[in-house]
Amino acid sequence: MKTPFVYKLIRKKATDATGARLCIVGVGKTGCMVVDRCAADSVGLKDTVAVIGMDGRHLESLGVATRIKIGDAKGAGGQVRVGREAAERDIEMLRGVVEGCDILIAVAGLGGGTGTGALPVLLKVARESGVFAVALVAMPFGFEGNLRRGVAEEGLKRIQDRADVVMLADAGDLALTGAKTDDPAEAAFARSLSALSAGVGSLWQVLATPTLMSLDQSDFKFLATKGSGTCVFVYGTASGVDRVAKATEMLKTSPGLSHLGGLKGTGGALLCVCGSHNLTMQEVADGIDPLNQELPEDSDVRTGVAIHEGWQNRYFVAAFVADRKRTVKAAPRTTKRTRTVKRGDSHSQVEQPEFNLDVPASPKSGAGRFNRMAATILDGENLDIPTYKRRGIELP
Amino acid sequence: MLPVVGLEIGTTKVVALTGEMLEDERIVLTGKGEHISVGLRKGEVVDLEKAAGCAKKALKEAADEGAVEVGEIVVAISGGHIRGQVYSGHTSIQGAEGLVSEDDIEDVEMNAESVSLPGDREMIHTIKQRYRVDDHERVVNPLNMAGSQLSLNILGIHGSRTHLRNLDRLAACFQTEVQDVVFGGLASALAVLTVEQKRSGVAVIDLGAGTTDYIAYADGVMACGGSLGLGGDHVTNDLVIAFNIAQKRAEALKCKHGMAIVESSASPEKIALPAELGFPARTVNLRSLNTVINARIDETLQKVKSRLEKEGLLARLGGGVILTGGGARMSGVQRLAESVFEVPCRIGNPGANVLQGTAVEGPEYATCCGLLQYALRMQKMNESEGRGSLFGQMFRGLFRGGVR
Repeated sequence: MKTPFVYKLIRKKATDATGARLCIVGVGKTGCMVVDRCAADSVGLKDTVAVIGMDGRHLESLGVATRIKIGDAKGAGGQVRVGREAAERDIEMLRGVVEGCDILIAVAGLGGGTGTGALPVLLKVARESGVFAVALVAMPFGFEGNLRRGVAEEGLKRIQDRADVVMLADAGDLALTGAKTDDPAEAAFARSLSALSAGVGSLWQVLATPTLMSLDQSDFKFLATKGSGTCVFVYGTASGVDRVAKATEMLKTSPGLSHLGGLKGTGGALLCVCGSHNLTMQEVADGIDPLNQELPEDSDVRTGVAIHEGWQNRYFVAAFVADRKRTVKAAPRTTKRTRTVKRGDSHSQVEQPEFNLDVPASPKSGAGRFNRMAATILDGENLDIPTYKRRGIELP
Repeated sequence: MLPVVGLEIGTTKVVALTGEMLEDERIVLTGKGEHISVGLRKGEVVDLEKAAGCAKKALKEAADEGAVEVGEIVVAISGGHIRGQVYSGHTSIQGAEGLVSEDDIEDVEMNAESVSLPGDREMIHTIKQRYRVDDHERVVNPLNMAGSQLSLNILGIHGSRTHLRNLDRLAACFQTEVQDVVFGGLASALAVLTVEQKRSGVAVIDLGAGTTDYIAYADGVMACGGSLGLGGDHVTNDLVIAFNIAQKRAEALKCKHGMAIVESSASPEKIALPAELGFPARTVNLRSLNTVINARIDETLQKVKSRLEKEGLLARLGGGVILTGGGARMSGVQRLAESVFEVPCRIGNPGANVLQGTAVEGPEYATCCGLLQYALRMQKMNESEGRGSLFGQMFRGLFRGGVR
């Protein structure tokens, strides 16, 4: 099997309080950026995360120790099929990533090729290995077009089938959380990315670092039992005076939560609170109490509180809110067209990604008796082709 | 005790056996039925109706000989979709004075067995390995041991839901129900292994026509198992391609003249093949024949070897390698396996462990004999409520009949 370049598989594994091994993996460009950002922010995270992508040059530019390039192409080019086939071809490397883990937190942005195509494959490998699989995925911005949104929704279904818990965020919602109308676009974009990385970071902080109130794998597993196994990621962050009140308000009014009908409609939630060293007990209480009051009485809430090394005056709260309903609806599609397509301009149709996700990628073997069957492929070799031929043995 | 019926629907033949357990726990085979099989490739059903027809004939033959009315059957499953994996469960010890209680053991078992598999997979067996109490590893029975954390490793063997469902539908075709499904490799191991071999570490490789199943024991526990979609059919197919001869002729050539090792005889012998409809008369060089066969079987064994190597089991095979299945009949395969695994190899004989009311001889019956042993021991275990017998303890919670 060709292994283009694997730098190294994760050597260290972070563990939670019960000894469960944790691994955070970014898939695709967005996923890689989030994980890279998060690793740069949090002390000690760098060696326990991995990134998987198809664009070698982008991978090179990241500071994460474990970088895995799948496929031969330079990128998936927005084609889900390309991303999936690359992942399936290099499935052994994916297996190497999840090997020895108990919990996998996989991060990806949906709507592109690599994240949407390769993440389901990674999740499948994880589930097969008995790893508890958590997927944190971001839906694309509304203005990226309905096509991309459609790709993302189709991918999301796949992911929901395969992950134990899906944590869903909407890039637009993240960017608009606490935003004012005259905020520059640059800031909004940056905020979307930093919210995701802070969300992942806060999960890691409460799970894997010795902290004030830590969570363990069972707290994750409870999310899987609440509702559909899909929950929505919302957050609030602020610094300086009144940081807790500001952040809590930001979380409560976030657009992601309003799609759910506020905190009242939820069946359970995981709260991750991260603060700097000067976080006071009063602030912890002030931060969590108002959220608890809003949540329905019978809902199950697990709370983790951690101190983030290197933060000053910053307060961050992430909530992973499970919907009561069987399915969580993604944010409604944007109705406005942001780009006018000229009549006869069928360009967007030509580039439509393939959606034939159900057809396995295994080639038909062209070898005699096994002609009409799926080929036996092990370690990237089609074993239906006679061994002597593959080994290049000359018959006497 | 009640008689049981085992059915193995292989890629080239269907074998049905009936048997029962005597008072002194010895197993006696009472009936045997055998029929060539069609409708399967690589151990997986591709034509349900044809496969059911063959199975029905074999089943009837066995039932008549054994004078048994067939209502429920125990079926073997095999194929490249089967996967074995070690899962572990943990619990903190809650028993009085920090001693492991029966509840704790139950807890950890539940914990270990509750594996979340993807929707298209189904668990076939969960086999207990060893417990761990804190740092104390390889505990056989942790009851009343002191500690704070109890862990248990289990070997979970799971397969594709579609294929498992196919077996149910197949059984329904001849008005029977599937009482239990057993992984073919595990059945073969049950049929040919002794306790002593399991303790010193042993691998059983079942060389079937469509699949190659393997199970390895180390220190008395089942350490790994799985199946490859490679088998005797691949050998035949290679010969078809290499010499451009008909399928049937290749099969006959393989069985009559084939050898798994290439002997460096000075004068290469030629085998004459008479003309046949569509194929002219010709000769085949015996060395070429064996070279093709050797390459394929060597590769198959190498694949198994690399799987065992991954689990760190190669150095622990003190009991050697046991070969079963029709492929074990191929001459020279024992020597080839010895050179691949570098441990002594034997051909397993399932007939040795049972009393024979009917003649069952040869490694190809290992799986089906194992099915009977499995079903009968399971029956025995259910009677004596599981606890107590070692077999029962190992396989608790694995009887699927009640669940489905």
